[in-house]
Amino acid sequence: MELLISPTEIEAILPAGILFLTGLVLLLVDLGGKERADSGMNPKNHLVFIGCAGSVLALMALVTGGGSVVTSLYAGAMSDDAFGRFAGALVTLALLLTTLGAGGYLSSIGQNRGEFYSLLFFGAGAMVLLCQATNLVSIFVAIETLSLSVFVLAGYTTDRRPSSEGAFKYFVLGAFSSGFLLLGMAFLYGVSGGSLALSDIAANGPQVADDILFAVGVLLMVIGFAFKVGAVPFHSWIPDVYQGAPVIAVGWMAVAVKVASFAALLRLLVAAGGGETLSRLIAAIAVVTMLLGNLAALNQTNIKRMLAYSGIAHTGYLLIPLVLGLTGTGFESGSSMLFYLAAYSVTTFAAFAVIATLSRGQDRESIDDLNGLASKHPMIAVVMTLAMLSLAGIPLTAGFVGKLMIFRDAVEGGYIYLALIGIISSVISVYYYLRPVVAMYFREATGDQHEVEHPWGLHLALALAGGAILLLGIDPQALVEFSVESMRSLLGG
Amino acid sequence: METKLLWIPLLPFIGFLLNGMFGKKFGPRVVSWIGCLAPLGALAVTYSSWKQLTGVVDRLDQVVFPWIWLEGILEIPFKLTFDGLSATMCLVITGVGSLIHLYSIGYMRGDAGYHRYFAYLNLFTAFMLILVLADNLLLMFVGWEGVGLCSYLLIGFWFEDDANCVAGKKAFIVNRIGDFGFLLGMFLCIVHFGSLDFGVLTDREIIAGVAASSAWGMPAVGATTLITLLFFFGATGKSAQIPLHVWLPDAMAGPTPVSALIHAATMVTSGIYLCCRLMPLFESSPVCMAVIAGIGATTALFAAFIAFSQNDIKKVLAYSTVSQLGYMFFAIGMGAFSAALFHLVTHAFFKALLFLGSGAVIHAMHHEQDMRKMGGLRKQLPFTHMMFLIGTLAIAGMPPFAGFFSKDEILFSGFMNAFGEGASGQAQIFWGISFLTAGMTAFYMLRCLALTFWGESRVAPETVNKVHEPGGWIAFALFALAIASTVGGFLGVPAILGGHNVIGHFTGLHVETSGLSAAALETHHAMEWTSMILSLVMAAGGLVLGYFFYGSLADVRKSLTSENPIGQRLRHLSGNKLFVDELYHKVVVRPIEILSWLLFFFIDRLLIDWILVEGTALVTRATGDFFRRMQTGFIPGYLMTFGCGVLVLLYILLNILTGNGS
Repeated sequence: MELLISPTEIEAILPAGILFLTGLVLLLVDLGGKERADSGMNPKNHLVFIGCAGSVLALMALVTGGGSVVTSLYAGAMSDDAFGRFAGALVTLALLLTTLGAGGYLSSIGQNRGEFYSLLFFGAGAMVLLCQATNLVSIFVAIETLSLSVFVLAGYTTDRRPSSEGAFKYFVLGAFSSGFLLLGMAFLYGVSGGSLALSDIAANGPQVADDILFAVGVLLMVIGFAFKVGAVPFHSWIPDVYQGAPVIAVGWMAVAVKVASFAALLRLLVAAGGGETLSRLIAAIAVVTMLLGNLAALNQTNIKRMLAYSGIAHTGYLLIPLVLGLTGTGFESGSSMLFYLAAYSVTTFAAFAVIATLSRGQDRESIDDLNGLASKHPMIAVVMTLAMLSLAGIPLTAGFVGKLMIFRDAVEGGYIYLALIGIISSVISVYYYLRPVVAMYFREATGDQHEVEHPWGLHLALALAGGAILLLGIDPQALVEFSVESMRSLLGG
Repeated sequence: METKLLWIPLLPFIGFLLNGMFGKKFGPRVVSWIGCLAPLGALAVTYSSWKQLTGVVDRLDQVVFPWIWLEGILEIPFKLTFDGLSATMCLVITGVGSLIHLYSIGYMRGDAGYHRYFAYLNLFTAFMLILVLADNLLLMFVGWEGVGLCSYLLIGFWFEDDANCVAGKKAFIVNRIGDFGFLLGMFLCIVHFGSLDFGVLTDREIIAGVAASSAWGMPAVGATTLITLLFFFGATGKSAQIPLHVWLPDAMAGPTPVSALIHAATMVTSGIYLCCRLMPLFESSPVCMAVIAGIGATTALFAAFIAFSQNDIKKVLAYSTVSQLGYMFFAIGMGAFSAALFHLVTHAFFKALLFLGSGAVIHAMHHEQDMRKMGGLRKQLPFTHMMFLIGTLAIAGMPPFAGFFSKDEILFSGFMNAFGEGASGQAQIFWGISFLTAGMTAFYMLRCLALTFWGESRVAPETVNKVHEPGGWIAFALFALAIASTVGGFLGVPAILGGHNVIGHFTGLHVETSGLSAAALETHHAMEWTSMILSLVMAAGGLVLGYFFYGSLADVRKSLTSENPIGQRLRHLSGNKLFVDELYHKVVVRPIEILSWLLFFFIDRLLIDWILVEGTALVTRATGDFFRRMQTGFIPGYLMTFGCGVLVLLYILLNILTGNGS
């Protein structure tokens, strides 16, 4: 008897499956619990444990499986290659850290409910699928699923007006951008002779590189993704959403959405190409994004908003490998992007998690709230300092290695001006990244803002993230090789 | 062969680490043990390594690790070498050094910075040993800089007093000027020799090749001439020769044992050591040798002249050191490297003795250094007086004390150059100067002795009863050095007195005379006798003159210096150190101060601070504010931005594509 689904197909979808299942279990477990008045204050360690177990299982499935590069599973809807698994593993790692931190943080603001975790896991499942998707429809479905989850997470604290407001803006703009994405897909469907598979687009691409319909299609899809990763001028939602959403969810969004979207975008561009013209457009977007992100972050007093603009700036750096890939130099520089995403993930998560430790009742998100943190909680201050230095790209941190790789690729690929603008904007960024450090170490604490009992999960997550920043900064070789291999699997397959 | 060379510098370094990190907790007892055992241990290792040097094995090597390794371009190992020259230096450094460490136990007792003092002193010993053990110039430079640092730290040891800090800074800065020459010399060595290895730099064949080529970019100057001149410039900094001698007298601000160890016996002789180490290189450049001889002789004369009228007992000894170092350089310039090294060793003995003796006096007088407030101390300090007398006779060059043999060898080499074969007028002048200086040395040292120990007591009444003989370690160190100053000269007894130049052969610096014919040898010996008798007469004359001028004929001296116009002027010049400090202040320091103020105001403050830094910051922040304000918070605005972005991108895309396509 012939099976409907082959073992390789099961292996490919196993990680996402585990994540979706864990999401369901979490929802059910919390439904079963007795509803008490203080249930929002309860740390609910069992949910955290289940979540961690689920994400670790998914991570193991991602790391151990997929011995060979397999394309066109499920009738060409997804593939199973090292590239997808690498990006998926990054998403799952971020999920693990977020879950660890979520219990303590949510109980400290009195909003610890099961649906938060299930939303996380549904979103994560969709993201892992997005990393593996090779077909326009599966890409779209994955994007919409993850977007829905993230929209709700952004508005999770329903009793806070900025949270709801941000979520609404995000939803409206997200719907708007999905339109462009869908329109781009329609164009591509048309020019590729009625096929939805990226491989067909790749096969038909070269012959019709100058085709206006094809170019417009790719551009519209790029715009859809540019919205997701927050590239200028499609970035407007980011500051408002980041400011409004609960900070642990912001950490999750900032990391995971960006990883998954960049992975899918990279896969799309590798398959479709787009040539010199598109490369020039993306270069322009990258330049504007780097500069605007860093300049607008300069004068922020709200640390979440500052990190929002910083995230925009990092999107700018991450676009550089795409520019290089679309020109003759090829997509080998995509490995730099993968490494940068890893470095950016741990660093950004660490920064948001530190803000999460400060919260009590609600987020404490002014830079002044960090005043004197170093004397009260020296280890947390160290992690925050590491995160800021890494975001700024100071040596011995992960961020430095990432920036070094991307700028080196840019110089070698002949895009010296991109590297120069990147370096200049990095220099500008040092100013605002050091402000929290100054506040923590050189200012006196006012009042009782640091008299917070810190939950164990958040501490563990911080320690892991801080350790990763240092490890990747001091000995990045293993991960660099791994990302090069992953990239090769995408290009070779 | 199994070697343990690394332990020689490592032991004092460990002592430095222990005392530096935990000295405060240890207490003075443990600090003294660690501080003194470290150099004593180094002395033991040096001794056993020295025993390994037999006639067959003439050097020990130890590569500690490959240090700077550019395969095939520049390979510099961290390598130590122990040959006759290094061995001699190591024995002096650890031997005299250990005695001075022991002396310090008594001298520094009760000082608040006791552990800091011993830590610095150990660190100095470690760096000095690296300097002399190094097998290449770069490693030597590490020691060279390290001893400079320790010198700075120890001169300003009592940093509560501003004057001490200023003296420390002056020493450091002047030394840095000399280091500049050393560095340039090293760079040129890399250019011309492609190596910093002493093995290469002293290979006469390679040197001959390089000497024939002209210095990099300067056709008129020979390569080795420029290199050696630069190294000599470095040496003038470390060894306090004209024009960089000004720091050493000020360096007397440090504790007296430091003056004895660093500023008399060891560090200041590293310039001599450098020249001896690179002997073949220096010999290849007659120009440089002449310069060295000239500078050396001139420095010897000038410093002796200044020493005439110093009233601070340590200042007299400091100028005496400068003068004696000048002697050594004069010997090098005359090609008598062996004599220079010999004098270095004996000088280490008797100058350390003199300094420690003066330290004992200063200690007894409760930190009074002015000789005008001493006098007649012989009765109260008979032992110290005895020691000081031995030191004085040794430095004056009286037989059988150490200074006689070494100084005789130097003066003889000068004499040979001046009146032997191939003599030149230039060499005659140099010899005349150094000959004169021998007499002057005897004179000013006797003056120092007489003012301190003889005649009427001028001690302040409140301290006169508290004056006491030193005991314990201070006396022991003095005694040991007095013995060394007495018998140290037998290391190099000249052949005409039936001796054998042990040190010259051991260090490999000796120039053989055995090849001479019988007649030539006879002339040689006759000249040696002449020179010896002449210098002996000169030194004895100086002593006798001093004895009477500061004894029964004091009135004659006073009328000479205060009534005779020439005497007055000379006294004025000598008393003001020939106005070199003032000259440097006017010619070098002031212009630099003015220039740096101008640079500070126009370049740093105006251009960089105000225009570039603050201006840029202002523009950047204003731009940032503009972007921040663009974020209005209204969805229609956001949609507008989004839509416009799409339109602009599409417009550009279509424009390019249609432009290309049609």
